[in-house]
Amino acid sequence: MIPTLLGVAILVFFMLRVMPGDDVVEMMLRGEGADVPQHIIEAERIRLGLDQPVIMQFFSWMGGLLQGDLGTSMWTGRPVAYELGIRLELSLQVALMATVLAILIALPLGTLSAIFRNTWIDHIIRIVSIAGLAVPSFWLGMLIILFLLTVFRWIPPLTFTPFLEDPLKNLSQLIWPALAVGYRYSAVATRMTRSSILEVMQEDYIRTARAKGVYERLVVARHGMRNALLPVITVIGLEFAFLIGGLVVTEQVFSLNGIGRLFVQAVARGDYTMIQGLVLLVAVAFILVNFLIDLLYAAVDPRIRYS
Amino acid sequence: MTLTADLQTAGAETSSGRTTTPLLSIRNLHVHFVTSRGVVRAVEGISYDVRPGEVVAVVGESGCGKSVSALSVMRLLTKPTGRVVGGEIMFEDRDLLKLSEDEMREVRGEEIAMIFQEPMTSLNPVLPIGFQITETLFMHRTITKDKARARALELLKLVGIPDPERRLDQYPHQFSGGMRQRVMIAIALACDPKLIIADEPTTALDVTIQAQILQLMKDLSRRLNIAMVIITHNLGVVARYADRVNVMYAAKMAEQGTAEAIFARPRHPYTIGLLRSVPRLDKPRTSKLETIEGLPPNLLSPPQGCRFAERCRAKQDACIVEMPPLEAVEEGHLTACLRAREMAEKGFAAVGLARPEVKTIERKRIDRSKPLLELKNLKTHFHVSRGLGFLKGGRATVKAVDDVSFEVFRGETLGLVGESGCGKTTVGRTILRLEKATSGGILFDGQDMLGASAREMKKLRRRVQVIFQDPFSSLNPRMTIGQIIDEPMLVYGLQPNRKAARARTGELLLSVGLFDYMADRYPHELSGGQRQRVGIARALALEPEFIVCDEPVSALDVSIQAQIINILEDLQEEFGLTYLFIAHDLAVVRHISDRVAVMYLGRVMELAERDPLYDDPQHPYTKALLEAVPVPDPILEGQRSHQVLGGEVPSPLNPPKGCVFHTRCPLASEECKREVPQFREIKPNHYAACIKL
Amino acid sequence: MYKALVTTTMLAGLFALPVAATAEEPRHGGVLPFAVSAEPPNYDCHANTSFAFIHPVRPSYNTLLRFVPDSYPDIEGDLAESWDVSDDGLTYTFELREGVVFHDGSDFTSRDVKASYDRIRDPQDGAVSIRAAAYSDIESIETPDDHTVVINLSAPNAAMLAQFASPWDCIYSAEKLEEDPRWPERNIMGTGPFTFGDHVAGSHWVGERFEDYWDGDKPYLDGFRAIFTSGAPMVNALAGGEVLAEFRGHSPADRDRLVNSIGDSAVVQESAWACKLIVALNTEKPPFDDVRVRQALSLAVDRYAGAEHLQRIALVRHVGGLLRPGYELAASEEELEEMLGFSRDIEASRERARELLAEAGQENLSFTFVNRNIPMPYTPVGVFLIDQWRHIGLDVEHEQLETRLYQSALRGDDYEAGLDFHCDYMDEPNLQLIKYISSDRSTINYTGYNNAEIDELYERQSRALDIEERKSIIRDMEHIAMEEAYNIPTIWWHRIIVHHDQLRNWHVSPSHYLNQDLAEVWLAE
Repeated sequence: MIPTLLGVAILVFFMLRVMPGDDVVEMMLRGEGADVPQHIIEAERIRLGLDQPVIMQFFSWMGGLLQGDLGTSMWTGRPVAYELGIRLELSLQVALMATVLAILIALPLGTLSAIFRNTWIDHIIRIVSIAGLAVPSFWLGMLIILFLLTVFRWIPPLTFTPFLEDPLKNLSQLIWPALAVGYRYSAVATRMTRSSILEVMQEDYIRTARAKGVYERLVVARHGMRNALLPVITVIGLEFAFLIGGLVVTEQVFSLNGIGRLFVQAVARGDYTMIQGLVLLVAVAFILVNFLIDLLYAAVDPRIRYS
Repeated sequence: MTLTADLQTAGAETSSGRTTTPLLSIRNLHVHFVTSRGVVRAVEGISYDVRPGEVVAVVGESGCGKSVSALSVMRLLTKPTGRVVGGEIMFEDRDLLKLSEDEMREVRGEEIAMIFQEPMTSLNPVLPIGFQITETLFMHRTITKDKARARALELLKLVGIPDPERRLDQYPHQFSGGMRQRVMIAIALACDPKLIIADEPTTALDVTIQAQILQLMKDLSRRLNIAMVIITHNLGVVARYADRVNVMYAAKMAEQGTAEAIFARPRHPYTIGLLRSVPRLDKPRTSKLETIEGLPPNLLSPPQGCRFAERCRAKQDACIVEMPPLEAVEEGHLTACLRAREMAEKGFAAVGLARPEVKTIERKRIDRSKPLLELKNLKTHFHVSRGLGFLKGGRATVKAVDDVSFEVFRGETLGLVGESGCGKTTVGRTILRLEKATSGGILFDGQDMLGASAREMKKLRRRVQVIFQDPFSSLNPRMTIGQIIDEPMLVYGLQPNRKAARARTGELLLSVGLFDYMADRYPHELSGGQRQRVGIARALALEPEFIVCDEPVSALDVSIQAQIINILEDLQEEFGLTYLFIAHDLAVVRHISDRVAVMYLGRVMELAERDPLYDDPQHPYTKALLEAVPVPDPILEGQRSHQVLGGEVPSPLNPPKGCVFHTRCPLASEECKREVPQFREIKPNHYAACIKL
Repeated sequence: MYKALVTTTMLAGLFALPVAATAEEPRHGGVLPFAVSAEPPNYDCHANTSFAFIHPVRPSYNTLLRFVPDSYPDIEGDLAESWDVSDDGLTYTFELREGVVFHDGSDFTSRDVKASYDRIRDPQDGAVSIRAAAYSDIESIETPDDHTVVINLSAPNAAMLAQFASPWDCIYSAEKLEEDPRWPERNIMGTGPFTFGDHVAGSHWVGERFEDYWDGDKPYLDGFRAIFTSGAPMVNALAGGEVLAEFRGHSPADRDRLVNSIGDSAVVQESAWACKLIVALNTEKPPFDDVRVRQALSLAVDRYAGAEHLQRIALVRHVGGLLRPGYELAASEEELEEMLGFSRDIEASRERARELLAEAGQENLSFTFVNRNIPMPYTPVGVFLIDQWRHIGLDVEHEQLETRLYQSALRGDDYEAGLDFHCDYMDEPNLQLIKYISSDRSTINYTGYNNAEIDELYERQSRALDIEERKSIIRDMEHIAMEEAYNIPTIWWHRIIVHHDQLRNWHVSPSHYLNQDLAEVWLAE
């Protein structure tokens, strides 16, 4: 985990410095085309330490990192950790809701699709899930908003209300982006569930269960689904990458103040420390999700638990 | 005589003369599989009976319909492709085919239980063993959890699983193959069924374990008076355990009768061919194996006449026109051959089934002065990590090959036998440098293979080739047969261009008994036996001197197996090849090898010339192995003592100290646990690793 | 009081039908939600340049003077009750309002004005004042008493009075500045109508009514909520009524969509905009060092036809020179038509352009045109220009870059030509003409072009206190700039604001930096 993060940190740091474009000071002071004297720019650069050699900047950043300090945003001057912190809850909630939504949609649909293979039920479910793969989440998001706007003359609230403060308001805001992101997620998981169950239902132990006289629905639920879950879990873990990608655009579409939108803003502003912090956060999130997936594996599959 | 009338007379009596009504009576069963390519007539009009307490075998090669008929009894055919289109399956007084789905569910597990071939995959990996046993009880009985558990415990004891209390809560992967099959038997026994159908119950198991399981099943069936249907391709198993035998060929019943009658007086050319094509441990190896040439017919469009006619040496014109009915040749012995009576009266030779001239193979003259391949104290160890993710507990070492030394001389075949996990395949892979040796040396023609540079290795690879077990997965499915065989020749520059290579490929295909036009086909268009021939042709393409044959026939049916063995022998003679023949089947190894090495847990236990080893085995393990192999002769089997070797092969992660075999050895004493026995010459040219000798 | 909409008023997509011109009694109460399509990095007026700063922050501050909301460019007192400028234009005396208090309850005095302007013109101890140069004529600031400020100039400056109405010149508390000159970067504490409520980074900003505000019963609002959102979501939020307004400007397409979906309660206010798009040519890079090539590029553009067509799809509309058409110092239509590139006879202009190219030996010139990848109004104008140049046989590649790359390209010396922009809070030539003075002296003239004559004319006009005199100097400068064609004006912007009818007494002006203190704004039921 540590070597991975270190690699990520080094990569992102130096990649940012070699990328072309104005730096954060230019963006902040001259971004609107204002006539700002060079000495002011230089003074700000010195204040932000941008006048130092890149390698020195790197070591001072790493020094802070080792003490758990992500540094300060070059744009807002506030600690990166603070900026991430205030946005994390929202993104986490959307990601979580999208995942839960995806699973809630995928498991029953995928199972139905597999059981009623090649019937009209299967066809409809497959059309829905293929559509999910084809439709980009931001486009679906725009459709959702336009639908709400034209039909209900209503759009979800713009500012975030924490779930514990007002669950209804919170959900009325976040359910839509979760849907937009979760749809693709669910589509992938539905397809995986379907093929996984189809595969599992061919397994010898399914035949064993039937030969024992187990009720067919128990054969599916008890013997089939649990075994079919493993590849589905894998896919859910892998798709988490797309989820984060989806969040970046979906948060724009829904104007959500989350990690994804901050990412776009930080890149547009050339806010290096912020981008670095964000990339590290995503890397940590990835590692954690994979760890969770491993744990889930172990929970579902005793072969992993006991080996 | 009509078919049914005949069967009724046959069904009225058992071999022991008791008269009882059959428990299970299959009458004129027809099963079709509807596939995209057409209707496969998997079972056509077969009938057989099973009486209470009786062991009935259904024998045949893969695809003959033996398993399908069994699954039809359970009504477990794959839906919606498989369907029973005719006949009846009477179980006691009910026709199982007429029961509702739920009534049938009640029969399954409660009255008829089934045991499947693959113990590794037949148990649900994510549910504890105890649950899988008690589930059957809960499905059929109103029973408390405690009582169910008590019953499960009792069952585990019954099937001989040590420490059953603890094992109830364990999962299938914590059991060895043999133990899992015992669990399957426990599940089958849970509700005291009247009938158990066992579909190839021991095929996936090692010989010593196979012997244990079959013994257990036979004992239980006797003790609990459960009738059994054993479906198998192994004639030895049939001979050892079955009361009556049904031989199936290409969806039809070929012959049925008592085991004694079938083995002693076979009256169907197919049965005769089967019995002759199996390498025998009980008979001296005098000639080549007799083979049944050709392939079984395609069941999408089976021939009009006798199904076997095309491959039959006793074929007459009538055979092609007319489907011979199943008729009695003697009491209780029915066969579907037009010439059965002729055969009975005048003998096999009269109908053209004489044994081919016994061609005594001249003893190969082998120069033993200089080995072609020499293994010196070879060790191949694997490091495996335990635990998951970054919670890895630690690393363990599997000593797959531990201090193995032997020599192979030019022109000979060294057989390498042992049960699964003994390291025989790793030895082969290490020689091919597919695995990295941990220490020791391999000399090929005097050249150090382990230290060879990449360029030297490329040259060596041409001289050392391999034939793998699974002919399907070892051929690239996206390449034609021609491309597969051309490729190595072009890579090594043995042929100047693709055209020349293709011409050579044609020759090679002919030399392994295929046709040159097959070069344009893809692997999936060929049968298993044909694919294995392609594998051999590919190996031959580089004109090697040495071929590692890694279980080359174990995935093949008996009749095909014989064909391949014969080809290997012919090629050896023709090209002066040297083989390292790795296999688990002792009879096959005996048949083909000049010398044989027996491995157990990474070590060679015994090594000798073939005949001394089989006739006078020294090491207790070799003795036990030979003892465990059933012989396809019920009379002989009846005389054998069946001293079943107990216990299991210990985990190679944690092999026993001292002699690795001491945990199962009948001769083992305290000192065996302390000392690793020296591999030494017991008699001239007969080596063994045992301190008791 | 009556409601006057500056240029055009539209109701629910129906042109004409001005909002009832009868005086309405302002209503107290309500929180105004509006959208801001960017977010300021910090809270310091003197160090910021974006409207994204003005919109949420300006309501918490006052300035010395301000532009009259409904009659730009007139000026009125904000914290100054009255003012007097000496005849020589060197002494500005401001009488300050009494009874004004800061949000923390402390009294506002002349000391605060002095401290704030000292910080603006000559920042100390790391404080940043971006516009210091514009105040370099100030020699000293005196505070004869608590409510009088005297500002002495070293030379007369025609722009100075209007500059005291700059929305950027927030008056800070002297006491706080003494404690820490950088205090305003992180804190909001002024005398303005709204106190700082909350700022959730990335999300929104809350202002609350300042109960002790000096101006009678103002402000009318209980507060405002500035929500940071942009692009399509912002338009959706406006359409859905989540916000009542966005004060920067919309494209014609968005206007029509908004009017359509808001329906009867949509109010559209439009105005010419003191923002321009300019073709910047890198005069240090051949062939753009050749004035003939540059002139050809200017001559080829049919600005009149362009304005007519582009105004339907882009937020540009007005044909003008160096100054916004309609501004009193800008060239009249007739004057403009005399200048290079502004002739109504486009065929003749293009003929001349071809000749010039031939003379320069650049008939088949092809180059890359750097543009900003923001659709409105950059893309359509860029496409328009390239099409115009195609008419004289030029092959131009359109390179649209993300803002960071775009700005760094223009500032670098490697680009060939680019579409530059310039906005300021007023039409004042001192600000607007900086784009055209020598690259040596202006950080926003990216052309590398230097011309002492132009710089001298610029200097002279800034000292000219007489309007007519100033006008004629500017015309001279404009002629030279047009002939030299290093920064070529194209079409001026047009500001379109759509808001809900519930928002009252907000007036559009030619600058999106102005009229944002929200003191007079109120919400109808």
